[in-house]
Amino acid sequence: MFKKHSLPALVLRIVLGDNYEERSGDLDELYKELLKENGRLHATTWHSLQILKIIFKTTFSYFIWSLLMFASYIKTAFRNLKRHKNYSLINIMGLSLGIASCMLALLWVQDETGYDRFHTNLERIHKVYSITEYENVQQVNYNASYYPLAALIKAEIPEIENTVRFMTYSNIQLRAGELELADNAMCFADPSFFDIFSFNLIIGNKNTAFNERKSIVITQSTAAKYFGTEDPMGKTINLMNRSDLIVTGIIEDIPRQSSFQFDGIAPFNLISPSEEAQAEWGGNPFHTFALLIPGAEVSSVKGKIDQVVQRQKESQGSHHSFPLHSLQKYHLYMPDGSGLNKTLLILSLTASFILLIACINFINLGTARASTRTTEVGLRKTVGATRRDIIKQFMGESFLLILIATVFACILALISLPEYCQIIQKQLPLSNLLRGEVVLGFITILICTVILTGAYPSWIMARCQPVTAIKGAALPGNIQIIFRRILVVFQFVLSVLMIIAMFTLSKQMSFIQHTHLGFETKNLLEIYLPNNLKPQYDAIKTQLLQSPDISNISMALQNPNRMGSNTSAVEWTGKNPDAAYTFNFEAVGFDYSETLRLQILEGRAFSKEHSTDENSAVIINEAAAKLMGMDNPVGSSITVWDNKATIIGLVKDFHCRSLHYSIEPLVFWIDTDWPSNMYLRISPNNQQKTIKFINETLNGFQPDTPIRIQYVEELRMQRNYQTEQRMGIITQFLTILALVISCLGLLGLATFVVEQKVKEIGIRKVLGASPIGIMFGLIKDFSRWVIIAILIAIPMGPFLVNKILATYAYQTPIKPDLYFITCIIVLGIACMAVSVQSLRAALNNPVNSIRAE
Amino acid sequence: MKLLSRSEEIILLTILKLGDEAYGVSIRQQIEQDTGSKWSFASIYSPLDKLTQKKFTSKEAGESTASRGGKRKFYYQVTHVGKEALREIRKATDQVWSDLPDTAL
Repeated sequence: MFKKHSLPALVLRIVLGDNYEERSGDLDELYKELLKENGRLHATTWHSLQILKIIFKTTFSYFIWSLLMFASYIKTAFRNLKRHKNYSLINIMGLSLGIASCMLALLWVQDETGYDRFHTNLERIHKVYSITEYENVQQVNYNASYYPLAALIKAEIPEIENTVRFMTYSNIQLRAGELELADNAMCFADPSFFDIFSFNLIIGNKNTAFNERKSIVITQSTAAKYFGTEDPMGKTINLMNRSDLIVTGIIEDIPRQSSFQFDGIAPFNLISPSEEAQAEWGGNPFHTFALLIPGAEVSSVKGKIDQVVQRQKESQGSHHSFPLHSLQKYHLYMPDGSGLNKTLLILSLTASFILLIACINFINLGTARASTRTTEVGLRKTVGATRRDIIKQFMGESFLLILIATVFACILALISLPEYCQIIQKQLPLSNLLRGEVVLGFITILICTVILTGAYPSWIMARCQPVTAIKGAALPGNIQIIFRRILVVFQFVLSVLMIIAMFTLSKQMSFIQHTHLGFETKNLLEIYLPNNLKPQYDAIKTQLLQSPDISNISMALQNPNRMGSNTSAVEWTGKNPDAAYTFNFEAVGFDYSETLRLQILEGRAFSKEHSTDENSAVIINEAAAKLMGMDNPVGSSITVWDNKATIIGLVKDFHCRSLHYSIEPLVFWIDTDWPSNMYLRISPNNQQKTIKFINETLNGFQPDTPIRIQYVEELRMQRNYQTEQRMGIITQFLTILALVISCLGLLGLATFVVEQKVKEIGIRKVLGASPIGIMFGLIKDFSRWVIIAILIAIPMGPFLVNKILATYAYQTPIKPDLYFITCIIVLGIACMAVSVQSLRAALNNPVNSIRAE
Repeated sequence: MKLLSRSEEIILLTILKLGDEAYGVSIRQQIEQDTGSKWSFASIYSPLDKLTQKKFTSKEAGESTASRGGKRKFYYQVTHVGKEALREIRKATDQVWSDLPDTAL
C-alpha cells in the first residue's frame, strides 16, 4: 500500500480516472490480507505488480489506437506539405525565424534574471540609496552613501541585522614578487561583507580575515595567477605601489552571474579617510547594503532610516530620504523602474511579435486553402471521424509543421548565437540552452504557437458539413474572409509600428552623434594619468606640446561628457538661506577651455598670469548664472566649500552629461592635485603617429606603466549610449524580419487568390481586358488592406515616438517625412510581393486557363 | 448482437452467482475458485469496463471499510440486457455443443 500523495498513487489516479477509488480500494483490501498471511515482502511485490499490470492494460490499447491514427494524420500532413511546397516554405520560413528570435530572446532573459541568486540571504539584502531634493533639482544617488550611515542604522533600527559599506574599482594594479598586473578588480569592504553576501572563504576565517588593516582576501584564480601552486596564505601583495597587504583568505571565484565582480577584497578602512573625516555627512560614491532580520517589513524600515538620519544630519534646506532597493532586483531594475529590464521587455515583445506575424501567416494560408481540403474532411467524416478527430488531425498538422520549423529555428539560433553575443556584449554559454527554465520556457512558446496556429483552422475544418463538403460547394463564408483581412491588417500595423520605432531610434542616434555638444569631441584624447605620473604632469605637458600635431593639453577630474560630481555647498549673495541648490563641479587644469574649445561668453579663461586663479577663481556656465540670478556674473564673488572665489568667466552651456539629461548648473575651478585625466587636442592628420609619440613620451617618464589613450568621442558613444546602440541593431534586424515575414504571408495569399481566379482572369482576357488592367486590379485588391493598416498605424506613431524619446532630455525633431517614408516602404514592398503573382496571372494565355473543364 | 467473449461470460456469471456481494475482490476470488487459475485484477477490470460501457452490468457505490483505506466498495449487478446476452451465448454454446458425435472427445 502506498501513501495518498505518492507518485504511484498519482499515476494510478490519472490512469484509472473515475475508477480510482474502487480499484485502489480492492487492491488495498487484498494487500492487507496478503500482509497477514505471507508477510510484507510478498504483499508489496504482489501489489506493485498488480498496479503495473493495470497501468499497462489500460494505457496500451489507448496508445495503440491513437498511434495508428496519428500515423495516418502524419502521413496526410506530409503529403499536404509536399503538395503545396510554396505555402509550406512560407510557413516554415516564417515560423522558424519567429521561433529562433524568441529562443535567442529567451536565452538572454534567462541569463539576466539569474543574477545574484547564489546569495543565501538574497531576499533580506537591500541597498540603501539616497534621494536628495534640492530647490532646483531632485537628485537621486544610487551610488552615494554617507560614512556614518551604515553603523548608525544598524545600531538604531532593530529590523536591520547587519550593514556593510563597500566599493569596487576596476583596473587596479597588484604586484606579488615579480608579477605585476594592472587589470585587477578590487573590492574594499567592511568585514561584515562575508556575513551578508555569500562569497565563501575556502581557506581562512571570515571573522578574522580583516583583523589587520593591511590584509587581502583573493579569489582562487587570482591566487593561482600570482602564486601558482604555492600556498598563498600569509604572502604579500602590493597594492598600487602604496601598501603591502597580507593574504589572509581565499574565496571561491565570483560566479559569472554576480552583480559585483572582483579579484580581491581588502578592508574598507584601507581606502576610507581619517576617523574625523568619516564622521562627516558628505555623500561619497560607495555602496551601503543592509541585511534585514527575517520577516521585516521593507516599507517600515524605509521610514525609520529617514527619521534616524534626520536626527543626526543637518539638512540645510535640502530634504533627504533613504529608500531601499532589493538585491533581488538590483541587476535588472534601477530603483526608478528603468534599467536592463526595459531592454529585455522590448526585445521579448518584438521577438514575440515576429512569431505572432508568422502565426498569422499560418492561420491565413491555412484557412484560405481550407476549401481545397474540405473534400478530404468530408470523406473522413463520412467514414466516421468525429469533430474531435478532425480537430486532432489539424492540430497535429500544425504541430508537425512547427516541429519542422523548430528544427530549423535551432539551427538558425545556433548559427547566429556568436553574432548575437557580440551585439548584446555578453557571453551566453551554449549549455544554457539545456537549463530547466529555458527548456520549459521554450516548450511553453511551442505549445502557445501550436494552439495559436492550430485552433482556428481546425475549428473551421471540423465545422464543415460532410455533404456540402464532398460536393465541393463549401466556399468560405464572409466572416472568414473578413477575419483573414483583419489579421493581415494587424500584421501590417505591427510592421509599420516597428518600422517607425526603428527609424525614430536611428534618427535619435544620428542626432546624438551630430549634435554639437558645446565643445569639440572630435580629435580629443583622454589619457588616464596613474599616480606615479601625476607629479610630472607639467614636464609631460611641455614635452608633448613640442609635437606640431598636439595643440592644447589640459587635465580634469572627470570626462567632460560624463560629469557626475556635484555639491550643494555653493553660497552667493541673494541666495535664499533656507533653500539648498546643487551644482555640478569640475576641477580642471590650466588651458581647459582652450583644449575643449569651450566658448567663453564673458570674462576670460583661467590663466597662469593671474596668481589668484589657482585658489580663488571660478568659471560658471549659463545655467549656473541663471540659477543664481546674475545678469553679469563676471566679477561677482561666490563661496564654494567655505572658500571665497571670484567668478572670472561665463562659459556657454555645454552638454556635460549624456543627452538623457538637461544641462545643470556647473562650476569650474583650478586644482592641480585632484584631476587624473589628461586631455589632448590633436590635429586630424597623422593621428597614428601622434599617438605613438604620446606613448613614447609617457614611457620615457615612467617605463612599464601601461598607458590608456582613448578618443573622447568614442568614450562618449560607448559609455553613454551603449544600450541604445545595442537596441538599435537588434530592432533594425527584427523590424526587417517582421516586414519580410508579413510580405511572405501576403505573397502566399496572393498566390492562392490568383490560383482561384485563374479562370476569371482568363475569361476577362478573352473579353478584352488588358494584362496591365488585370495586374492593377489584383494589386489594388491587396494593397487596400495594407493601406488600411497604414492608416491605423500612423496615428499611433507619434505616441510611440514620444514613448521612445521620453528618456532623452534632448530629442531629435521628428518630421512628417518619417511617416511618409515608412508608408512608401511598406506599400512598395507589399506591392512587390503581390505583383509577381499578379504579373504571372495577367500574362498567362487564357487558352491554358479556360481549356480545362 | 455480437456474442460475449469468454472472459465476459465468466465474469457475468460470477456476478450473478455472487448476488449482492459482487465487487472486485469477491469476483476475483470466485473466479479463481471456479476456474482454478489466478486472474490478475487488470484482466478482470478491462472486461468489466467494457461490460459496463455496453450497459450489460451496472455499478453502484457501497460502504467504505477500514481495510480498504476508507475507500468505498463498488458493487456490480447484471442488467436486463446483460442477462439477455447471457441467454444468447448459452443458446449459441449449446448449439455448438449439440450433435457432437460421442466419439469426438
